[in-house]
Amino acid sequence: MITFKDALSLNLRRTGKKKRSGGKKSLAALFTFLFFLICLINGGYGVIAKIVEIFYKTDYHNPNVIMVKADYQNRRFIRPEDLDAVSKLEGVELVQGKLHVSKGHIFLMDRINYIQPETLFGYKDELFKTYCLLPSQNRNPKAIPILLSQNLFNLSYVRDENVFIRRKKEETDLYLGRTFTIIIDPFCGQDYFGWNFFEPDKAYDPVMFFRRAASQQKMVLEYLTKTKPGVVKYCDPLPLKFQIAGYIQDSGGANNPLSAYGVIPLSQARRISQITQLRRESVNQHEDEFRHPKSGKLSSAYVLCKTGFKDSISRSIEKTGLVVERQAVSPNRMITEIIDELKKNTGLIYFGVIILLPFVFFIILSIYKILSVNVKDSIKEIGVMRCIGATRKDIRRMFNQLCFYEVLQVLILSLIAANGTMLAIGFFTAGAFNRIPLKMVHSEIFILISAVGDFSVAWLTAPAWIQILPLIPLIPITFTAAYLPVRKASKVDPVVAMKI
Amino acid sequence: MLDLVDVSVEYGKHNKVIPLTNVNFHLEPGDFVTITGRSGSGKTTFVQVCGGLLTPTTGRVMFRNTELHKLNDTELSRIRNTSIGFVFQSFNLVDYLTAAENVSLPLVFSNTPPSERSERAARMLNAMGLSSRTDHYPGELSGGERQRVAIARALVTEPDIIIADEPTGNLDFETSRTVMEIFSEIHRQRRTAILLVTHNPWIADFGEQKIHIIEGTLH
Repeated sequence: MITFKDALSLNLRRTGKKKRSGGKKSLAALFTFLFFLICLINGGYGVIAKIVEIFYKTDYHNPNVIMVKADYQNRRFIRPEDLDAVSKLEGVELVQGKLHVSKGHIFLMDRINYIQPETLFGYKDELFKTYCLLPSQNRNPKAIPILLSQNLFNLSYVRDENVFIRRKKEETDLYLGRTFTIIIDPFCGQDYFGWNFFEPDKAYDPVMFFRRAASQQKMVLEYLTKTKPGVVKYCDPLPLKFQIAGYIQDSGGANNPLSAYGVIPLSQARRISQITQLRRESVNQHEDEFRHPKSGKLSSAYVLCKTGFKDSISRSIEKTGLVVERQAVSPNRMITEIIDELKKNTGLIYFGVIILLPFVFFIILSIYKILSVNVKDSIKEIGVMRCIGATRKDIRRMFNQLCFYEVLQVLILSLIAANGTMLAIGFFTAGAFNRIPLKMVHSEIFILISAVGDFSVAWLTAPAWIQILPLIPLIPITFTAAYLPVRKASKVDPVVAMKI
Repeated sequence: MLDLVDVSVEYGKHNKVIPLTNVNFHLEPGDFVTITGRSGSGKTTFVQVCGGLLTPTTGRVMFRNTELHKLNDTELSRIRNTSIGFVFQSFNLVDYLTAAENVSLPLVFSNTPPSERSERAARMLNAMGLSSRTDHYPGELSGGERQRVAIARALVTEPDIIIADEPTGNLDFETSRTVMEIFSEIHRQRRTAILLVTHNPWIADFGEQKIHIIEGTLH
């Protein structure tokens, strides 16, 4: 009987995927194989993240950072003395956190040409509780009201002297654990280059900058004052100030808001601080009004550990009653949430099955038709093989394998296509999220876009096995569809075949 | 070695065609039999029955005292693989395989190790004077070369019988002669029994024994 390897070799030759013996396999096949392999190792998103990491020379994942969270149920918040105690633990390099950090922070996402979907959706639960990423005001001046109206974050007010913002990983590392205030002008105008693009030793007229921004800023703040009277009562139309609580681990490259920014020299930062000093004082009078009710207590903090100390530090912190997350953002969380949601809503599963059924029939018919044509085209060849000693079983085996081989290709291509599509959907929904009219914030379409965006990110961040899982039913479906054509191939009469 | 006893073949239910009628034939190892006859006289049907490709309607086909049509598919395929070599008029090479791969194809079905396959195929192509054409595809070969590849494929399993159905039908005079010389050489050196169908009298002269088929009966 023909061996598996020989049948594969013949099938590869038949489908033109393998040239004459010893010839080079096509480069495309090699890349496909490598992509699939990397997907298996890293998970789908890992590949993309890795590419981003390589191109942007950033580290999207720092395994030595743990996140300490307050235990809200037991009202165990992070106190200053907790941080002091943590900073004294062996192996702790840096501890981030300061009293003024409260529930929400705003990171300006200005001057970014694109926003990765997870920036807006993927880390929603994790991120929006602690941070809020604001897309460029150039693109969407309504972002803050939208996000606020979703109760995703609260504004907080923090003051500090230094202004830093940074781009590169090594610079980010330098500042991790220290507290900075970013003076943000999230409402900058179209032609306003933003404070983070100040060039050293060049004369600027900050008043001009802020004046341009002020009208938009005021508009938004007025809106906030109306819609969030408890949070925003008054704000001088000045650049707002917020605090970086640490950079987001597990978010890569351009998707890390901090890595997307340039560092401005301290002198420039001070210059801005000085310019705004006078008006800031007036804002300071209202400081209490801007504080989050839980201000004075940290909701979370980041600890940078020395290599090898992560576990011991985590255990020590856990003993104090605080919650420790060993990875700031877990890529598996989204998918787990979706699975949980599916468990709760079995209707969704039925809906999915009903939607999928026509596709299953379509796949069966397609495979049946393709294989039938293949068998018809190969009748003479089957006849020759039968004449020179191939058994019916050999023919069946060859065509079954051909079928399997074709399906394997489809599976790999589906995986690549699915990732590409999800990425595209993610980008699209992120864009839609930015541009959706304010009055539609509570509409179903907005929720749908969010859900689609969530799903795309969940898919992209899902481990490889979850991506492959939906494709597995294709295998039995394929062989069911292939049964008749393969049977027909094995029954080819060599005498009849040779007459063709 | 090969015996046909009262073999008849019938096609069709309503309009019956009887290409072979009560044929009795005996082939010994080392025989070189040429079969001639007009188109439609039953030549091809006769060799198909001899090669175990066609089951006769009545009668028996015995190969080494085994009745072929009583064998199952695997056993019959095994005989076709190891004991019978086929050469066809239209060569019937597999287009996407090189000459060497075509020659070694029968060995694939007999689970011969790949290294031995390549070695035997190369040896056989060398014997056919095609050592420089091993990596060429059938489309890159001339008609004569293709037929020589087909002969090499038939010989690679060292069969007891070679059944050639008009092997020179698509070739010019010179090439036909070359091919027939190869058959004669095979017959002389290996003592392989050859059953060759032709409608060409001068080709039939290559055979030691000539059979003429007229309307399904041997003469």
